[in-house]
Parts: sequence; structure tokens; C-alpha cells
Amino acid sequence: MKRIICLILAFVLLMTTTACSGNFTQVNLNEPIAIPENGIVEKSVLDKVKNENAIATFTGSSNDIKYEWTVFGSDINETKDVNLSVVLNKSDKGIKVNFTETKDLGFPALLSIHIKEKWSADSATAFNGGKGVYSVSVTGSKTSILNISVNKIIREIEILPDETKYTEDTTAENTNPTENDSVSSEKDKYLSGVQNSDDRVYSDGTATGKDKYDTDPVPEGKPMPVEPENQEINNKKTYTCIFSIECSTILNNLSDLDPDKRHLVPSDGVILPPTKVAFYEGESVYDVLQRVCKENNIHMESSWTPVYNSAYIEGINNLYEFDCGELSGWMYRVNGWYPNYGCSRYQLADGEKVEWRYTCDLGNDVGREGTW
Amino acid sequence: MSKSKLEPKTKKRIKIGISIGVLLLLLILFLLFSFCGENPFGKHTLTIETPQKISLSETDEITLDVTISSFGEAKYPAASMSIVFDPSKLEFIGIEEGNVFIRNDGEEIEQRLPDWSCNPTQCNKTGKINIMYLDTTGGKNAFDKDLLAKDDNVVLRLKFRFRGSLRKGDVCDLVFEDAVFAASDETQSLAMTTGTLNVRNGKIVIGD
Repeated sequence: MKRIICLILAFVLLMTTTACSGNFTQVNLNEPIAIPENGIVEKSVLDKVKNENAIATFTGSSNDIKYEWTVFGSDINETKDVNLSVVLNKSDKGIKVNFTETKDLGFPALLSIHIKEKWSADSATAFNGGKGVYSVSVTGSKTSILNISVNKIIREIEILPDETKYTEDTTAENTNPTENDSVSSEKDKYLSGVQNSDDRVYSDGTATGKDKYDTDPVPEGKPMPVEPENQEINNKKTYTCIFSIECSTILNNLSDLDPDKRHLVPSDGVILPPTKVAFYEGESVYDVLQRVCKENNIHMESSWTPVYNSAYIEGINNLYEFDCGELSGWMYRVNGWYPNYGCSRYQLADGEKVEWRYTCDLGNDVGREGTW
Repeated sequence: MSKSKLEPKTKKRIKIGISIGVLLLLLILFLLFSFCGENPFGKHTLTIETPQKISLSETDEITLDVTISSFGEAKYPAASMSIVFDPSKLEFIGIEEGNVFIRNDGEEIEQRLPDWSCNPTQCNKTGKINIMYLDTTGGKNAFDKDLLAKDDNVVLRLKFRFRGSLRKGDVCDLVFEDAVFAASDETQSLAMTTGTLNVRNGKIVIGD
């Protein structure tokens, strides 16, 4: 009898101890999981995320900057102990990130960095040794979240706003204006600019009514339009900007697309991926578009519109306005804002991000606000 | 009979008693750890549930749950939340009903879903989803902890359509800028700004 009681007790003791110890290390995947001081997230935790196909969040903080990793169980192929701690330091223009982990995580993970102030651009790029290594998405109105999809660990990166030129690399990677470049030297009606990019005039938001070219008041803080006929290109000063052309909206509206044009639409909608290009002081968005298309063998057709004192972009890559519905056509966006005037009247500044985007819905499908 | 020489039966009873005592102690500890593991004393948390990765080739719409972990002891006749999103990537279509009920004119049994209000057109212009519920009956149609389910309390659902500018690998954050469940006694209100309401932001991650 004694032995039986002892055996039962030993069994219950064993079970209870196991259950209790299990509870000590129990991880609730529905709550954010704090990254331990040593940064190591154990294999058992990742196994649980994987087995439950859960979405786990691991949170940490460095130099008063909060960060979190989002890990999708479906992405985990290999599990092992991983160090998820990162060291964050503010730099002159952005944030430096040092990963503690030296080897790859074994799965892609999303690193989100929470900064207390609004980021100065609507997107960013992570650089390593002057080369862009990660594209960074930015969200937030008063504070901001920077998101990086980390597939491969690069020990040290610096995240910079996209309109900020990377100071260690001033050479254009794709396009170089030349001394005898017709775009910069000729005085034709398509070209625009003023003497110095630093002299750009910004709207104070007080103007009312339209200007003589039928342009509505420019929102506060945005650059005022310049007139192409007053342009003066300074080909001794070179700046860079990020330029891209895409038509991904068409992919959502293929039924409206002229069937003969289907083959012109890239599978991902990207005609020119974000590319760093050089331009001369005083050049306009149109000037650079012309040159970029020429150098990348991309078709582009425009017409001069006197009433707006600007070139109008009719087609790029042989995709024209109205090719994908009555409300379709090309629009341009600079640093997240769709200017309410023509591209010949937008004088580019150093480090700006220019996106040419095809809309199928008068801009509503590409995030344009307000009316023209 | 001397004290040091207990009868075998008495010894046995003492042993059994001690064993049962230890067993009970262990059980109590176990239950305590289990209880603490669920963090019953944690703050009330409003969460935008992050969904699994989305494939653009499979769908162009998504619905996200906004859940609440618990309410306090008060009744909450008004609630509002502001959620920031990127309108260049997402089009906010509107809200759908959740499963968190309100009292129906104070009746104990009768319940109904609250009429949340928001203006999607304005939300898409500003990039901020402002949602509000207001009980105009003076508290008869209020939120109440007794009407919560044990888990999965969906306050409402946010419905989005993907913009054409979205690409593989893009991340869309949905960030609480403000959230309040207001009680008639202000000190009992749950508010993000006063730290009485925790919030967890959500993300939409575009996969393959």
C-alpha cells in the first residue's frame, strides 16, 4: 500500500512539476513578447510560432527607440536560437541600425522601428556602405514607424529619408547629364528652372484664386511653380533624385485595358524601378523624365499645352492616356505629393523622389488627394 | 505510552497527511501559475489584429478585426478611435459589425450591436479613420464588461481595398492615434492618452 501511495505521489509530483515549469516558459503568442536582455529568442519559442502558424511580435528598445520584430509562422523554415536585439542610434539624417545577430535568422522577419517624431519623408532606404540594401516603408502622421523586411542580416545599416541624398555617394548611378546635353543647353519651351535650387519659392498657403495658367493655389509648404521660359540651367551644379515609372494600377483593371496593349504592361507594373539619377540645378521634372526615358530606351510622348504652360505626358512605354478607361493617364508625384501644375513647371531639388504613376481612376487609385 | 513511540497507524496517517498536504500545495501552485500566465490583472487592450501575409494575386480586399481584451467595471456609453493608414496604398471601404454587444435600452437580456459611424470618403482623404459610437440614451445602450465573450471580442472590423500601387513586400501599418471608451465618470474611462487603455497596432504585409 505504501509503495502504491509513493508511486502515485511521485507521478503526481512529476506531472505537476512539469506542468508548472511549462507554465514558467509558456509564451502567449497573442501578446507582444519582450526580447530578453541577452537578445536570444529560443528555438522552442520559434517552434511554437511555426507549429501554431501564429504571428508573433518580439519587442525591444534601444537608446529610447522602440522596435519590434513581426514573425509569421508560415515563413519559418528552420528554427534555432536567434538574437533579435538591435542597437539603434540616431544619425544626422536618419537612424543607424546594428544587428547583434551575425548569422541569418532562418526566416524572413519584419523589423519595425518606432520613432517619436514624424519621419521627414514618406519612404526611406537602408544603406550599407553607400549602397541601398533595403527599401523601408514609412507610416504615421505624428510619430512614424519604419518597416524593413529583413531577409538577410546585414550587420550595419543606416536608414535615410528618400529625399535625402546619400552624402558619401554623389555620383549618379544611372543618368549623367553631360555638358552638351541638349536638354540642359537648349532654350526650348519644355525646359524650366530658376537660378538656384535653394532659391525655390514655397507656398505660404495664403494665395487664393488661380494663376494665369489656371493653377489652383499651391498647398502650404509646397514649392511654387516656375515658368519654363524663365529657366536657367546651371550645368556646373549637379544633384541627384530618385526616379521611377510604374503602371501597376493597370494590373487591377486589365479588363479595361486595350487588349493590344496587354503585352506592354510588365508583370509587376514596374517600368523603371526607383533609380538614382543626376540632374542639373534648375531642371524640371519634365527635363529629367525626357533624359531618363531616352537613356533607358523607354518610349515617351508629350505635347506642349500652352494653357498650362507645361508639357503634357501623353504616353510612356506606349501606354497612353485612356488606354485603360476614360479616367486613365499618367501622373507624377514628388515626395508623396501630386503637384497641381504641369511637370515642366516643377523645379526639382536635390534628393527628391519622383514617381510617374499610371492612374485608372483620375488619381484616386494612386493616392492623390483633392482636386485639380 | 511515551510520546516518542507513536503507533504505526498514527505514523501512517501523518505520512499520508503530509503527502496530501504537499500534493495540495503543488496543485495550488500549479493553478496559481496557470492563472498568472493569463495575466488577468493586465490592462485593457484594444488591438488591430495583424492578418497573415496577403497575396495580391488572390484578393484585392481585406478585413481586419479590432478586438478588446476586457472592460473595466464601468459602463461606457461612448467610444471613439482614430487609426492612421496610408491612403496611397489602401482604400478604406468602411466598417463591419463585430461581436461586442451593447445593452438595448438597459435591458438585461436584450442586446444589440452598436451603430459605429465613420465617413470613408473623408477617411481616405485624410489618411485617418475616425470611428465613433455615441449612446444618446444616457447610458442605456452602453458597452459593459458583462456583454463580452470569453475571448475573441471583436469591437468592429475594418475593410480595405488594395491600391494598385501596392507591391510584394510592402507593409501597411495601421496605427492608433487615439482611442477612448468613455464612462460617465471620467475617472473610469479607458483612454489611450491616460494610459488606461493599451493599444496594439496592426500591419498588413504583402507576401507572394
